[in-house]
Amino acid sequence: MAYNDFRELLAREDIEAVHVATPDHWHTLVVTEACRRGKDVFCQKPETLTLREGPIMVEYARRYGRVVSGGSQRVLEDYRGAVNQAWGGKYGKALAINVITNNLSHACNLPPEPVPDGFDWEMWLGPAPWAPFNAKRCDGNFSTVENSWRSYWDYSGGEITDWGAHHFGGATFAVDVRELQPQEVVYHPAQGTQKAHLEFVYPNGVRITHCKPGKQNIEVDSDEKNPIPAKPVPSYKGTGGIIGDFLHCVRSREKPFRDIELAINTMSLCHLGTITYRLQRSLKWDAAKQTFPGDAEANRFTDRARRQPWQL
Amino acid sequence: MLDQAFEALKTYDYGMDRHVLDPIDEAVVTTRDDPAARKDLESKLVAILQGSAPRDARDFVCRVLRTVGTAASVPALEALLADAELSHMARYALERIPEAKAGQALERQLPKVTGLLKIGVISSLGTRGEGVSLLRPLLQDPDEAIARAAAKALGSIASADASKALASAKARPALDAVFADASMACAEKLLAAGHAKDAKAVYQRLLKGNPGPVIRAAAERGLKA
Repeated sequence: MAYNDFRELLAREDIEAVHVATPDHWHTLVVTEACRRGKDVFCQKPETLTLREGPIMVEYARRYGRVVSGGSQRVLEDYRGAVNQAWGGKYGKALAINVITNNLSHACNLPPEPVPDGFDWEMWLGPAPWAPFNAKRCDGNFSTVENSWRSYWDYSGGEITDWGAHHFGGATFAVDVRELQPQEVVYHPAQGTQKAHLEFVYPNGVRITHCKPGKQNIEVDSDEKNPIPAKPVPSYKGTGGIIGDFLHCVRSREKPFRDIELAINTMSLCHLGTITYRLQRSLKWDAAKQTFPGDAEANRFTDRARRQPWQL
Repeated sequence: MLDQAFEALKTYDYGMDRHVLDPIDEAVVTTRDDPAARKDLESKLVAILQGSAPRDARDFVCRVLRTVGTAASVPALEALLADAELSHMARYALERIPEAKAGQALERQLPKVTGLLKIGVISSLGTRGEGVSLLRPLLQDPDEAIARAAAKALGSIASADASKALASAKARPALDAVFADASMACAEKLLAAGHAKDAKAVYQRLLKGNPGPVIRAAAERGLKA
């Protein structure tokens, strides 16, 4: 059975869990409503469109005692080399890791086209700013490079949030800062042919760089002095990969491997990075208060108004 | 280049090359530490907003004012709150302008707008954490969508006053779960601020109302927190 409006599906009492695979600009509204309706949720990445959405998702998951999993299978499955070395005691406490993603999302000004019969364009837009229908705004193309919904900032953060959810997720896992958010983002301006790059600084001194010149994706830097003691690597529960982990936790009521709070901590890097690139200057971040302290300009970027009647 | 971009903006419409506006995006960054240039940029944007430029041009201006707008932009933005096409984009800017005048504009327009636009203004007040005394009576609005929006906004504000407003609202069976959700958001903030007794009172009140299983489980969990 298909529904045009997710609220009709979520009102069903015979459904215990849902998989949210909407475009990014819808994720938080659907996830929070699902929690409010008592459903467990598996949400595709990137889980959020703005910084403000993250803690709200976590609040709803905790308020209603729901199992809510983020959606990146790559965090555990793609970066085992770096993860096993870091958790195995190879590296010292002076630890840095680099992440590479490309484009931020950008504006879209496509010409109007007739809305196809039977397609609810207003519902597709939902909380995003109104724009005339154009098939390129909403076709099935997930590319962040070509013109597609995921390359437009009304609907997505672009590659830094799309692949960033994977790569930053893997990086934070490898250097074990999954439970933290950075306290500072240092902006290194472009120099000559060298593009601008970023450095996220964590309260424990760990650094995650973004597009640092000369560094590969998930390349670790460490002095290998004062080695971090080896510890067991967390993994999925149950069988069947990340979906199996979620289903296992739905039954056991444990937190899944990609618990929403960990996913949101990863998303904070994606959004903080985007804001830093847009403002082209370094930023301080107060993770507890979810604000840029004393920085009125940056604080404007923590959220964006949703189109009526959609509301968090 | 900037002058040419503003000239292009006067007739900017869907389907045109977005890059003609790039100099304005660049000016947002380059004027940051130059108050006179920033003021000039803002006044040029406001002039476009108040003119007869197409919807797409004014949409763009609101996006830029989200970043550079000050109290000086508020009157032009406020005038759009009752405009069905541009109300959302006016809020897109007003919601993020930190000056009190932006919130005051939303509060002034709240009684004047209706339907979906009213829901939008309610939502923006909630996000800004303002307007509790105006939102409180809306919990009894005959339009359930307005009452729902007011409850959500109060839950977003989550202050002690917002909590009291929700506690004093007459029961509305169709909205019980939404009101309870907003009350629990307030209770969580009260608890985090060290007001455990007040928070527990919220959960106890909800449990007394014989709620459905989802709210009951959540309130019982809150009571144990």
